[in-house]
Amino acid sequence: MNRMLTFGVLFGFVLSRAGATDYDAIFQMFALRQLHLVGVIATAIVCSSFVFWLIRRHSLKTITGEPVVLAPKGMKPGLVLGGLMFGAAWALSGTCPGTALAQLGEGKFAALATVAGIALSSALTEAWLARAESRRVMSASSRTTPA
Amino acid sequence: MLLGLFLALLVGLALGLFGGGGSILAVPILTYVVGVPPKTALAASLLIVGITSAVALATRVKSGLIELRAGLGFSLAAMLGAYAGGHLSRFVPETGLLFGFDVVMSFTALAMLRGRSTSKRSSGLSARGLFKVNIALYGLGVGLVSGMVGAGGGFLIVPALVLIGRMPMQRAVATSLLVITLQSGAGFLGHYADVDVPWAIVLPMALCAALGSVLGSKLLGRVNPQSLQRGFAWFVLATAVVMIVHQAELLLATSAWYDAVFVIRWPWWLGGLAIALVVLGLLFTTNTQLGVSTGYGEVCRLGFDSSARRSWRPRFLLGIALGGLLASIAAGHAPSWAMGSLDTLVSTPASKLSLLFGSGLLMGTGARLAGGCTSGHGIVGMALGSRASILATSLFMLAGLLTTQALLHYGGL
Repeated sequence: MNRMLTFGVLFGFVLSRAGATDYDAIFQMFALRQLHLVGVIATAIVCSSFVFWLIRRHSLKTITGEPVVLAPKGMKPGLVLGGLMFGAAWALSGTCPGTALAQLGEGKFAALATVAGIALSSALTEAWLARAESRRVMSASSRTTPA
Repeated sequence: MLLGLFLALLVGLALGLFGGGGSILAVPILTYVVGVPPKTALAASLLIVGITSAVALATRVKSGLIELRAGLGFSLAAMLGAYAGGHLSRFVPETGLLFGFDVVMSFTALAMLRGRSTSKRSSGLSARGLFKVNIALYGLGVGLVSGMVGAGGGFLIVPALVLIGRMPMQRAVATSLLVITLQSGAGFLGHYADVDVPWAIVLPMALCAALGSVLGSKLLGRVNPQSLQRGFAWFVLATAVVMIVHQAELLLATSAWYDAVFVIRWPWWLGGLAIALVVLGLLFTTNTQLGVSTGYGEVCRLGFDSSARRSWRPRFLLGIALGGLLASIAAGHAPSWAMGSLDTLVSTPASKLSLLFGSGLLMGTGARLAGGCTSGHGIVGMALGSRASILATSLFMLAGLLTTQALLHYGGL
């Protein structure tokens, strides 16, 4: 399990070195003044998609010999609203969930507020979504079982 | 130089056989073997390829394989694109230009590997009206790329003609040579203004390449094009990798290696490559798809939820913060409350923190509703080609763009 910690460290380090934790880099991207981060993201997508394609075509295995599992995310009812909320927050805070943690690690103390906000709202939204889901399941089962 | 001439012969051979790939090979040969500076090499390669494909074209005039109308239509669009691209290349730094070239190389190799048994398809070209629009758009795009990076674009043209135009391979190669001849000429004129052409190098190489192309045309009838195409695709891919490694070396040579790695912000292509390596490393060692935002909820539930305690995500999140710390220490940054230009947008520390907290709230909710964030949807999901992720990422970008533009207009930034 320490492998996960190691990959986290690598990811945080790379995000920081690529300039993704810089408030102004994100601001300049959305102001369309400097597209450095667009290049970073696009390169990451292009390189990964090539290897994903290789994985799918040749059904590649992990280092332990299992077949690599690729699970694309599906549509969700809240996708549009959530996407718009996320984008607005991305521009306002100049960070995203991953880089906020890296910022905090870098010693940008103000990111503490961002991280706290993300954590609190994630937990609340998840709890709310879970409750809505269990209600839906309950009402569905009460309808199908004869009284 | 002698090695360069021999390699030029091979370039011509490739052009004659495949109807493309001239510049893809000529640029690295000129830069790394002959030692011409990158921008000059791009212009020189356009000239060499133009001359070579003209010769290869001449050997095929009688064969009746050249689709004149499609070729000319494509060329017209591509020449416009290439001329614009040649001018645009002035505004792009040389390392970026060469990296763009690497990307083009990898993609064309991919396109070639993907190519199915094309010889079975018949020529249904003239019947399709949509084809004209497609060919014009595709031509414009291919021209722009080729003019910017100096690739004649043959390996983009041949797949275009085969896949969109449903041309048999032989015809596509012949027609591609026509396009390349015209397009390289236009691209060269675009570059000509700001480059001194080293004629003493270009002319002998062009001669050798032309010789090779005649040889290639002769060989074409005798070899199985399918297996040749596959072999060549892997070769192109390998060349792209070698070029990337070489560029990384150049980057280290221009500044002290410690500064390049730990202090100066990485160039975009290196940052993107490194992120992809982390994504792929995680996938290949632990069969886990990278994503950050789900972990936030699990961290909050650590106290009472045993499944959250067993999850990999809290550890990964802790790692991200540690990684940031390491990067900051290595770069010698001091900790601070500053947050870039946000400090000019808001006046007091309290308002700054509440703005960040508020957008954090918005972000967490948004990520949970959308089912992912910049990493899960934006990078991994996009790379997987998932429709939900493409939609989510477009919305992220759209809302971000609108928000910042609104701030710029009404916030007095």
